[in-house]
Amino acid sequence: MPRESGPLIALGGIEKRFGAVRALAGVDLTIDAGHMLGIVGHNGAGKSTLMQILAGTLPADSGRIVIAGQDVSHGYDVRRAHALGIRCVFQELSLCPNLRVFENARVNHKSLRGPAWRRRARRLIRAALDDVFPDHGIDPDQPVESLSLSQRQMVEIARAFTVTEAPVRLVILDEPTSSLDATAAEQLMSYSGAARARGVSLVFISHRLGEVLTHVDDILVMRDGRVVAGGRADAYTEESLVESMGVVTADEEAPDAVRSRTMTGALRVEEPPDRPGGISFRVHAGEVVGLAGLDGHGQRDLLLRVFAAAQAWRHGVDNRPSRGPLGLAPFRKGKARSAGGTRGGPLPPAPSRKGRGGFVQVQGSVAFVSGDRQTEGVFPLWSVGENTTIALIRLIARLGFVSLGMEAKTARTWRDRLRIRTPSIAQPILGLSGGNQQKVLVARAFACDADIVLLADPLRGVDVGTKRELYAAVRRQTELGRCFVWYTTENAELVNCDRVYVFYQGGITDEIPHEALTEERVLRASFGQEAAAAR
Amino acid sequence: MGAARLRVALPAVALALMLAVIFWQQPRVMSYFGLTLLLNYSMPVVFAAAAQMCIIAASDIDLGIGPFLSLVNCIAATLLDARPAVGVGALLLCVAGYVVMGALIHVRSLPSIVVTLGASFVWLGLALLLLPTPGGTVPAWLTDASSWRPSLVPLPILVGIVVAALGQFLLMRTSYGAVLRGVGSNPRAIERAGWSLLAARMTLYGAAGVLGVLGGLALAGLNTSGDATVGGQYTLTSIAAVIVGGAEFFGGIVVPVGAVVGAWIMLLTGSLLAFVNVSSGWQLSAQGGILILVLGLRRLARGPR
Repeated sequence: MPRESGPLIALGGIEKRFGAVRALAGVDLTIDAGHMLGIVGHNGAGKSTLMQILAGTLPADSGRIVIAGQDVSHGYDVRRAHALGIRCVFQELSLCPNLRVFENARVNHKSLRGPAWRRRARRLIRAALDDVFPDHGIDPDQPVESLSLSQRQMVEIARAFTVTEAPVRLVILDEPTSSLDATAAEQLMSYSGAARARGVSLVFISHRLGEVLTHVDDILVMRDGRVVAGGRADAYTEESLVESMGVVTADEEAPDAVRSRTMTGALRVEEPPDRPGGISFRVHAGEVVGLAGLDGHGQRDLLLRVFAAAQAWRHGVDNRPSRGPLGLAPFRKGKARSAGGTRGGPLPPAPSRKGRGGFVQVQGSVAFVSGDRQTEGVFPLWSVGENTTIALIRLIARLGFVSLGMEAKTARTWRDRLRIRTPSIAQPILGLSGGNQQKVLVARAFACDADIVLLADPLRGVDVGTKRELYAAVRRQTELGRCFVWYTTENAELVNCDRVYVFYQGGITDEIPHEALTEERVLRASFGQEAAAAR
Repeated sequence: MGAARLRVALPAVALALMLAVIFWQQPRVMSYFGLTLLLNYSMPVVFAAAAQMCIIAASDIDLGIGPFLSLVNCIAATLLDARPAVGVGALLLCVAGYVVMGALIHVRSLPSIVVTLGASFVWLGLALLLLPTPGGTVPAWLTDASSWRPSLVPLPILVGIVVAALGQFLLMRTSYGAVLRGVGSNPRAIERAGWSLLAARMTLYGAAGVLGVLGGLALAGLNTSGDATVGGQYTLTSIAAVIVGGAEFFGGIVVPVGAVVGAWIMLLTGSLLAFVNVSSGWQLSAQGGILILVLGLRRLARGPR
């Protein structure tokens, strides 16, 4: 590939406003051919906005864009960017779930048309997937809705590297590894090396600072719409990066006044041992239990089963042990919910097990915080305040009418506690950055009176500062007797847990207490201990 | 691929069962003439369902397709006969009307349910202007076309097969068809890839307009007269046909073959009831019941999410 003299990309003085919010306040950026640039910064710093401008999906208010020596500042759009070789993999997936994988490849390439376009599209995407993610196991004829989140991300990343008429010069990866499992993330990183050797440049936006520093050549730190630091990656460490992002550690807030009703949620899960490892654990009030392992190995299913069991408990449903159509665990009748008064006491004795049924036993109310906020979390038409207080609507209502004053007060309290960055709680929730939206979902779970909080990887794509604030918030809640079951794909978060259960293929392969927690042990268990031993 | 096959399989089986019951009750139906008679009035339903499918592919809905068919019917019974050139011009304007509707819905981000509902009154009003009372004269070539007897396959079945095949090819197998269906599931992604959402919606709505015109013409040819209110029932029937045939309201999931099968199912409900000696007053209820049954079975087959 002929080397252009000077940098491949040069952005100068880029400004962008969204109404009253100044997303970018004069940003300069250069990217050289064959280099990987890492961009870090906390939520709302402007990283995604900057990349959208570079990819042509958003017009800049002012500033200069020079690509491969050409000044393209005027009339720059997606088609122009694509023709100049700029590809972008966004944080929010850009696949159409109703289309097949190869049809999604077609969407990005206008030249895939005419007779036999299907064959060409299939070949194109299969080759790209084989290149970037060897042994991916994805069939180009599969409809995307049948793929897991990790597989969809793989397709989207591979698609960015596909070439038809225009060559690929720059691939922007916005939080790519947050939806990938560990193997795929590794493959992507090593492929980035091969791509760079070919002269392709990469932009890597991530909150995983260790990952960024290990793999990128240059680094850029953004804060509040400006570049605050930059240079070669080997001049930085994780600490110096966090410092330059200007994250202030919050003072420890006084814990909530002890409530008259003690929360004593407790949870027991038992699965039959004929599944690999089986699943058997208990969670008591005040504990944080972590679920680890590769994405899609049963952790989310378990959380959903616990949630379903809690629903049944809440309605006082009497269930006899039976196997549902998908072998779902049966429920156990617990104490019927009484209005006011104390719940609590030990879990009832385990039911006598007949046949192959396992069971989930729940005592207490449960809240669920999803990492997939678009489908399971956010009410997109509502404001921040409404999204926060919806789970406790019964508690702020009198005679069936919601007290707007209490609603607003509760929402503001939690906005301040979790430092949700929003000018007002009446702001439509979609106006917030992704990480702050996630904070609202966590606030919703904390604000309602749940005894057990299930976290399904809620801190994916959230910046370091926010994460630390949320870890501290979780710790404070456990002092009040709440317990947490926390599924996370980021092993570094497991230090917050009292106990970690590592999942592999639907069963638990290792139970690691806090003192014995090491990344190596988690990784080994993530791949199944049997796999570690030579067969 | 399995899921897509399953979507068509259920309504296809339902159709086969219904035909079996009809043939069992009245074996004489199983003849060229019998099938033609049985399925004649499926032609407007098939076109209406195909038109509805184009709209549903964009995750929109068309509440005005029925009155639109009436309008075309009235144009055919008045202008097309007396002043053919004006009549053809009027029909082209009708298609243009649909294209403009699609553009309006996109440009102003209006909900299609509201715009098409409003349009339904526009179509009805125009139809009443042309034909305040039922009547008019349908041109001879149109009535002849509607009663054409192709040698091997009865006309309504032929029409259904052609519409299904064309729909399947254009929407499911062409490269632009993939983009059009993508508009219904992730319009932002399609836009980010550089496609014009406006052009896509206008294409889908334009196709619906053309199919609506064909449906109205078929109706005119079969009825040999015009009536401003005759098409009203086709709106909900077309929606039911598309959904029973395997489509979803949102997500750009459509099955062209299924839309035709669904149209036949909806039409045959009435005949089925007549043949088993149930009064036709139950027809609407039966159509609703079939819709609920098919959707329920589909949900069961998919299992809990």
